[in-house]
Amino acid sequence: MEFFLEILINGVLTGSLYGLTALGLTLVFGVMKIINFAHGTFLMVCMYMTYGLGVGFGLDPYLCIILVVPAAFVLGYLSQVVFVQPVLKAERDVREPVGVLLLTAGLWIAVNNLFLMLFGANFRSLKTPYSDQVFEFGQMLISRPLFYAFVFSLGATAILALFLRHTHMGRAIRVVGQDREAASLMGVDIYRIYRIAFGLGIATLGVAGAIITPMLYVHPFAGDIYDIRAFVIVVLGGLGSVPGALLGGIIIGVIESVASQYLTMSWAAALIYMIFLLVLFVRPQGIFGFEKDS
Amino acid sequence: MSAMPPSGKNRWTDPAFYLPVLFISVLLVNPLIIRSTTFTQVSILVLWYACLTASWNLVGGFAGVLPLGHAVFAGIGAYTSTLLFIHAGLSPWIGMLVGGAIAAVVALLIGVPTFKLHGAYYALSSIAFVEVVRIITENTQQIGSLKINGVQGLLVPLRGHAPLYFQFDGKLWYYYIIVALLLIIIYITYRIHRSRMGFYLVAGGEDQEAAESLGINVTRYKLVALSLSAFFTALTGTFYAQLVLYVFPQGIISLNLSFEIAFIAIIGGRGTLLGPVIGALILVPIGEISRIYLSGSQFIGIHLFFYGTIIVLAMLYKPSGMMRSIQTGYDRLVHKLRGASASAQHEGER
Amino acid sequence: MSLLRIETLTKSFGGLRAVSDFSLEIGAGEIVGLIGPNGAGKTTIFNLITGAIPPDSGRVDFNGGIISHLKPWDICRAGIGRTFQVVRPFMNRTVLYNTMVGAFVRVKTPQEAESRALETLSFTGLLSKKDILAKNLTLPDRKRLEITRALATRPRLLLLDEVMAGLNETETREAIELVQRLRREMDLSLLIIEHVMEVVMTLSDRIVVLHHGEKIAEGPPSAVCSDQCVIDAYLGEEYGVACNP
Ligand SMILES: Nc1ncnc2c1ncn2[C@@H]1O[C@H](COP(=O)(O)OP(=O)(O)OP(=O)(O)O)[C@@H](O)[C@H]1O
Ligand SMILES: [Mg+2]
Repeated sequence: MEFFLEILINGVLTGSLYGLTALGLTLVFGVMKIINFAHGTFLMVCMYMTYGLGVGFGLDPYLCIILVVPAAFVLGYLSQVVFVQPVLKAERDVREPVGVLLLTAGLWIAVNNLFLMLFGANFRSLKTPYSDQVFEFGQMLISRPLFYAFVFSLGATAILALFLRHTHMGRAIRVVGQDREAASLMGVDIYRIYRIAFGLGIATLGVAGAIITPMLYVHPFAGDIYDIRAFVIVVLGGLGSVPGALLGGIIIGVIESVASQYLTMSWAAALIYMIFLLVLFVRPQGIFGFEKDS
Repeated sequence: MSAMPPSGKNRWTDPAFYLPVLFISVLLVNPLIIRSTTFTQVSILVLWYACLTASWNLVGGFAGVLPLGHAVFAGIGAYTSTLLFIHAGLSPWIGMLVGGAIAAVVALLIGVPTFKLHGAYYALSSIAFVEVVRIITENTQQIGSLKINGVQGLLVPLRGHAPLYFQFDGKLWYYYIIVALLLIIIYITYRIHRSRMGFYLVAGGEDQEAAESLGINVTRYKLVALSLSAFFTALTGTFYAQLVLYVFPQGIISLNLSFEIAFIAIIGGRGTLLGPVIGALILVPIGEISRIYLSGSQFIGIHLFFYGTIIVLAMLYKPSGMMRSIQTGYDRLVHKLRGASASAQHEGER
Repeated sequence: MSLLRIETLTKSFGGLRAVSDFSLEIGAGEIVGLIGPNGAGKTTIFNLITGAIPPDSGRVDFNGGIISHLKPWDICRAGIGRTFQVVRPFMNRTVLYNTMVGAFVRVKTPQEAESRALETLSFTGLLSKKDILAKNLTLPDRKRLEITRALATRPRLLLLDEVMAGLNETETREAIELVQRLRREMDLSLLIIEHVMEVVMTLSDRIVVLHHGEKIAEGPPSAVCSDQCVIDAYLGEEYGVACNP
């Protein structure tokens, strides 16, 4: 029983982190209706930033958040200007645009391999004093960095949700997501909103990158496993829904951690894809989504 | 080809007729003139990708969706013919058609639910489809008495030089087979493109609701296109199995292959007749040459870095592909060759 | 016998009753105007007739058969054409291509489709623009293309959703003339949604007024215009005076 509870808790903790990695994706989709295939790549870049700061300046990964998040925002903002925006504009009168998906798939291949060229295939790890420590609750052992990750994930999700709800910019972002025609008629510069939304989406990966680094190896393909998983999560949670991403993440985390007790890891992955397909077929707006477009 | 095929007796003086014939002849005699194994091998690979992409184009190009699951159909082709060969001694020539038929049926089954989805949702569902099938294949040792061998895959039993069993002692044979397959696929695409079905696929791809209001059962046409596309993709899969005499899940049922197909289509020109060939001619040699010459360098990953960069640049600067420019150039050439006297009948790209 | 007969058609979106208990008959060769304030449910009625969305209850008969359970493409085949309020041409294709798509409903070969499309294009006056991509057309031409494309399906009843909105005076006059020729020369029945009162008054044999999804008045233009109920709900004082000279 305790053993099962431990698995469950681990699933929830890991899942909240998954939710955080999916947050940016769902925000970007919610606003622009595009799929960013380079999402995991941006996460990987944020991990390298954290690692660099940690090794170069001896900064604690959690402290790095202060630097990595703004850097990630700028990176996202610039990527939107240089890459995504031109493609979006070129596809303005296409009803089902998928150009950005292919563009970002290209970025994913290019940037991952650029990092491979620059830093090699080595698995690097940023050792912190607490990397291998655990909290003990009776018989249960909970990894300390994983627990911190949980706290930060909840915090970041809450901040983003509050920002979207209560600030002027946040509301503008939501309006553009709901009805871009109406928003542009109201005089909102939608491309500016897109740039900011993309920046914010990548900024959330700044948090994720920083809190993953103490737990996992940093290497050029470290973001990939989060990539497709994040798609699954946002579809489960309803593309565009912030709380949905967190809940979707937790669901996936729990399924994965429970299933991997009884199945091999790869069967657990197959199971998740099947759930994903089922949700797409039966309820394409996601479990928590209320959008009418699919 | 936008220039009208001439119907008169003096076809041989019309560039719109003899130029295509010339190109096809070049395709046929090339490996006989340039007698280099590397050249033939890379050519086979180019044509193989062109076949895959041309099949994909039937639905991914004309019907306006972005399927990223075609690797599954290639896998069905490769596995079906190989399994039938191993277990029933059936010639892969026949196994190939069985594989095609199975792929077509699977396409219908997966198409019915997935075509309810649009845009990014459709693309994501097709990605999940490949991943599920790959993982299941990798983790299945046997189905009943049928050995699948999981990750290791299957070896095609060797028969030496046995044309009846789709095995040859020279690469040239494979070259001509894949040329033939490509010509068949392109001819069929051409016929569809100019028929009512072609119009209907395009219309449904641009705006499903508007198309339906004009009397088109869009989903039905998409399904037909998908299963035809799956059929030819499976044939191309069998060809691969016979060429390398080995099938394994990562090698064929992979997301990478699915993406490569889409990239080739984009570079060449999605929804154009010859875009897949142009795309493959550009992207495959770049991939191969940089793999051969760069991957040994101190910078591992450099060839894929190039590959990815090309995709990004193409999406930014040439999102409709190379075909349009080539088409314009070709039309101009035809025009010039016909001379000023002939009143060239041009039909702009539709 | 009437060509189209709608009986107690009802449709709700969530809690909103967009159309409720709507009935209407249209005879062969008749032009009926459908008016009502924004959000009254006019477009929804078009969507219900053409099968784009299924009704909650009620039925639609066309040409002697029930069509309310049919899919949009079958309803088009049965002989009902429509335009969309926000025009939806196939943007990256030529005017001719757009029209041929419509023509293919009745014919099989591209040659036949092309000749029919050309015929239709010359009827609506778009022939000279046949090789232009739809996305490069002006708004009035896009609207005209929308009509042409629907016309190429050879309908017996054509539903026009605000095809004159956003046109200037000359363009409106041309459009009115086109609609009148549609009836005269093509023997069509028409159901038209229009906000410009003058246009509806000129064109319609009969006007139906919709308010909050319900039909509040129906009758010849002059009668509807002076109906107090309609004036209150929709037209406002000044209209009431303006259309009663
Ligand atoms: N697919 C839909 N889902 C939800 N609500 C809808 C849908 N279509 C229409 N509605 C709602 O139904 C009501 C009627 O809309 P409809 O478009 O039929 O009005 P209309 O009379 O055509 O208005 P307008 O003059 O502005 O075109 C509106 O409140 C609209 O928001
Ligand atoms: Mg309307």
